[in-house]
Amino acid sequence: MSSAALLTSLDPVGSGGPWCAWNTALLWSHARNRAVTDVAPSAADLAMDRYAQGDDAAFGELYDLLAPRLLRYLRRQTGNEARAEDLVQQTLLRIHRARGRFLHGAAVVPWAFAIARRLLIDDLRYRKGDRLAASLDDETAPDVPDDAPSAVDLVAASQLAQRIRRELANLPDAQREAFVLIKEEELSLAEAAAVLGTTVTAVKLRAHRAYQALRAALGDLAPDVFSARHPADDPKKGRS
Amino acid sequence: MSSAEDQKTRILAAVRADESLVRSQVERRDLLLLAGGTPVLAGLVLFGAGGVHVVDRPPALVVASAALWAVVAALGTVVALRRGRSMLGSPSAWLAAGALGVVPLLAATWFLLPWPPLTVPVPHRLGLDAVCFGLTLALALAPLYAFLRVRREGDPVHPTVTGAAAGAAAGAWGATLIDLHCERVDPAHILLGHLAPVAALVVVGALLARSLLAIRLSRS
Repeated sequence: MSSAALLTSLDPVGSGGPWCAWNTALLWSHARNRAVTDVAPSAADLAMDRYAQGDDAAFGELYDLLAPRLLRYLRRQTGNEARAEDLVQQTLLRIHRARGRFLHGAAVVPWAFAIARRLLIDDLRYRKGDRLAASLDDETAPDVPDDAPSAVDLVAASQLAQRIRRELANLPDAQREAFVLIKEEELSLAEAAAVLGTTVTAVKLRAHRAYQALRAALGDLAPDVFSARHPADDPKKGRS
Repeated sequence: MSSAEDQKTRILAAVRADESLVRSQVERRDLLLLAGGTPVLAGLVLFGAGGVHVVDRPPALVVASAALWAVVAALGTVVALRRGRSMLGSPSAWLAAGALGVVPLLAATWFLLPWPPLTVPVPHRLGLDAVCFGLTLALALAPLYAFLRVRREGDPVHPTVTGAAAGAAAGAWGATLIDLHCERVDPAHILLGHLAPVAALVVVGALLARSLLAIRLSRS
């Protein structure tokens, strides 16, 4: 099997999307090189702008662009399809009600994720008390090595994909959230930090820890994937 | 019909049934609220309290003091309400600086002005402090309502600190107006009657924000 085929087989949602590139080098370089202010408006931004101006038909387009991403994020965070769907519906209704306040030139995706996250926290508080909600905000931000970990070369296909899903679900909420927003939803570090209400450094740290935890958990299945690593990621030095 | 199509149909139907204002309507409403209703209401409260009093204070200093406080209040308002090009609002550090910086700035500008020394000792009366405290709160009510209304359910990231900044800005406007009305210039009164209510409004704004600015799950 070629490395491309192996990487494609990692896609846990079957979309051929970001999970195909299970590559931490991409995680860091991609996120580091993007900034909130210097990206051209996305199709979702333009659709939201039209909707804010009163073009009701734009909501359908906005739905198609946002709902799958929100559903994927919320499904990952809740582990429950019905709750995730309910939260997506509430998020999109909030966006609809606030459409008149949408700023021309603003980015809709971080805003949508921030609303979804706030509703998720509220939902968790309602269901389980403050434990999970608090855990989403609990990180301080010590320094993180700037150098990117090495790229993933080969992995053990579908078995690894299943393990990734399971291990990702086992991560602390704050780490999983940062990892999912950056890696799966392709938000920039700055966007993810804004959504999470924290600093870029803290987001990097959470994603870095998530990567380390996943590597520790999955290294036995795909030793090649984690063989060429940054010294800071050496398990012998302990997890930061 | 698949689950995804079913959900889309359901959400589109819910959206059609739920009226929402478009951008031009929101801008018009906010302009009316901030530039029309709020100054009129605050002016009416000031007028009801007796209007502008200069009495023994040097008029130039009264004007300078009110103008400087108005500048601080305007800065506080910009910090609290400005969103730049982001739907997520200003960074929390910026908002916190606005919330915590207004009272020291007001105090600094007032105490740096060359107020004439008191020739006759003025007895300090807590009753007068309380009157000005209450009047400052009353004068700040209209701006506070306007600021929170403009940002209502609009801060998904840090509503509490946004509310605190809005409270500080509203308090600064209240303090500016009370400064035009109250002829007392003794520092203890300024601190207790004019500046303490601004600090109180920072707390009030932060508390109100949890229910007014935050995005909450509706459970029907």
